[in-house]
Amino acid sequence: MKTLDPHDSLNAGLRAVAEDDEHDGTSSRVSMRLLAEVHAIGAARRRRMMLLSLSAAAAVVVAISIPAWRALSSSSEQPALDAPVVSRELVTEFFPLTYSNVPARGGYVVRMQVPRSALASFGAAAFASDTPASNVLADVVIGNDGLARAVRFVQVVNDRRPANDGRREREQTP
Amino acid sequence: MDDAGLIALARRGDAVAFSRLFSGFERPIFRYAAHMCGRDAADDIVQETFLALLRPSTSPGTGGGFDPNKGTVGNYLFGIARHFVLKRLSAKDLATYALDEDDLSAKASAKADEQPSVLENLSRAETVHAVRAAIATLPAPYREAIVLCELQELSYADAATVAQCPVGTIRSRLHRAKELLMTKLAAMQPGPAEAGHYAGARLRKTV
Repeated sequence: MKTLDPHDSLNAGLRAVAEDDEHDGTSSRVSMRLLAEVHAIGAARRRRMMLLSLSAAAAVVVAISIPAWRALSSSSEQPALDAPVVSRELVTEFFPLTYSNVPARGGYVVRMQVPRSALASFGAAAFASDTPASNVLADVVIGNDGLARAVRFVQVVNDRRPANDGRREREQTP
Repeated sequence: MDDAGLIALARRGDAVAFSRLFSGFERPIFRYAAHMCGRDAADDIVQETFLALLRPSTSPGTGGGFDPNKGTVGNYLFGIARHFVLKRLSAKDLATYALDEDDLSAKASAKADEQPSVLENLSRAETVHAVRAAIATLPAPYREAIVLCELQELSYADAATVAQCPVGTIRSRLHRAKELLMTKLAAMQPGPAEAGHYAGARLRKTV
């Protein structure tokens, strides 16, 4: 009669159990349930990614459109040139005309162009000498009776001022 | 790709990565759970373990997620499974974990019997049945040591990591578990009155 050592016998028995266990595993129900969970995680992640993408796209659109809108708004308010052009007028004193001594109760001023030679006849030949135009502007004071009382000469000067001087002027002195 | 990469992909919903992890570790986890809590609970434990793997932030027992520096994915999964196993153990079984090794050994009250084991008289199927039944009667800490070290063939270090105890404790538990098993199996030696205890067992005569 041949007997095994109890330890060897036990170890053999444990090996037999381990080998028998090799065939054991979870039911398909478990794997199906877990795979469904994985798919749900994937779907939720894709939804999150899509939302993030849309949010990022919206942020980019806003980031681009706000400065562009501001640029468009400000450009519509500013003159095309960087330096604004300011017109001002240089005028002479009023010179009396032939009927200046005739009393008048009221009148009005008419601006007209007169030949440059008219300047010389009033002793103002040097006025507006920097412009080559053959005519100059003149404000003529006309009484209610239609008689001209006085005249002054006008030169319109267009000045270009720096854009960053802090103000936009559009002045025109009558 | 390593297992840590597979875990990261699976957590993002990659079914292929998850399937690779599941097929690699499902059976060992199931067998561990089945020996510790029974086959009926094993399915649920495997399911809960892998759900915890997928959602570590919302699952207890995951230790905050897998860290390759702390061990292998297998140990990590066994650790999660053990958390769910302990939740299912009876209060009596759980109490045995609180005993120190001497108390546990005394409670098991076993000294290896030198008489021949009944196993050599049994067919392979009967042997499997007898050993399986004997394992099921072991106190939980001993049962865990046998399952991890002998049936799952984990190293002492890995088994100690899973069982959250020192390697020396695993060694002593395994040693005493085997002594206890031998005693239990020797006690199964069928006398005339006990022959019918193993229904269906066909005892072979030793020559």
